[in-house]
Amino acid sequence: MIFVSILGIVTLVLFARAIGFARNPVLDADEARRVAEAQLPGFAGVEAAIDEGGRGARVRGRDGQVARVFGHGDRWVVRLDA
Amino acid sequence: MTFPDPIQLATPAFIILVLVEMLAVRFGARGDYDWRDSFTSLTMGFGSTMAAVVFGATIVAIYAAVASHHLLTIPITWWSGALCFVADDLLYYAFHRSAHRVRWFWASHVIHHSSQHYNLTTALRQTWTGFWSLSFAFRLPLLLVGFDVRLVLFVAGINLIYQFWVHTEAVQRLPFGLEYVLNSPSHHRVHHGSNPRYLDRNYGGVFIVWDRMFGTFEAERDDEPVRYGLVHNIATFNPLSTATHEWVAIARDLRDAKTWRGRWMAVAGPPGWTENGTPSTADAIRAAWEARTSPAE
Repeated sequence: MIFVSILGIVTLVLFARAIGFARNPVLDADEARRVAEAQLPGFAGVEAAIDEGGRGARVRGRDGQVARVFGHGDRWVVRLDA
Repeated sequence: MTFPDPIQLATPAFIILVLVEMLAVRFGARGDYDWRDSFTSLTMGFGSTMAAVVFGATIVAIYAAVASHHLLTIPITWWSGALCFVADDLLYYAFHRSAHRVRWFWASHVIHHSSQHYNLTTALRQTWTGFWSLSFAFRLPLLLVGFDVRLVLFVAGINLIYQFWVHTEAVQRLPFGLEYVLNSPSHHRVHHGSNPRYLDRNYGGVFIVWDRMFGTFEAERDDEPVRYGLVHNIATFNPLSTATHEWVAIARDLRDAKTWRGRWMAVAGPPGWTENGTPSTADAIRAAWEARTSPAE
């Protein structure tokens, strides 16, 4: 039962990858601001610096706070710098 | 009378339906997948079944012990089955609402919300630590009233199976007024949203009427797409980190708490409560959002 379950997981995951669910999108400045504003309610980005070849960004907010955006699979994770 | 294990019977259908949804999305249906995200979700589901094996006997023993103090003797019939199913779903609502409002319970339930995707594999992204969060305790009233342990476990399995299919973007709205009564893909998409409007809404398992009755219902709006995931999304696909990240955060907050109130709230307060600084509870986020926007929006 355990091995069947593991085989099922591996099959589904490899199938997902094989049919193209394996994107690694890149950011531009507008997209970085949009992502930061979407994940941080109330945050208003004014400028963004792209790094890691578009897989990350630092977005400065109107209030001076800086949000870091980094790739997580085909999605993004945002953290406010302390 | 013996009952089959509905989860075990349904598992092959789960796998087939995931494959069908993947292909449907690939050919244009609404939805999305990421193989890394699916790996985490499916592995969490596998681990959850292993946890059920480890703790299942203990839970059944507790249920049997509590059932021995039953108030009534309710026979196993079609009507008691239907009654038990509805009552179980009401208790599921109570469990689910508590799981979002009390951090000790949230530490287990957060796993289910930790994906930024919403597809049928998300349904299988389940906790490994539900036993420690006492999720089984919410069904004890059924046993005290007098429902048979086997019947309670059976309807709980049916409830869980129902909730599998609502984890999809491929279905828009249900026909024939069913959206008013049943939890649906649309209602449950809202539940998985981290948009301030959608936070902590639509706790219902099978019936959405509980949310309508208790004031926690929010309809999905076509002009506000759901942003899936957490207020503070996790940045890992590691199943072990996914399973334990909120427990680790609780331990860190307990260590750093300066007062006994802070320690209590770190465990029993709402997720996002903080002793210092700006809270990021659902209520605080919604209040700040409402202050920024007009009521008409």
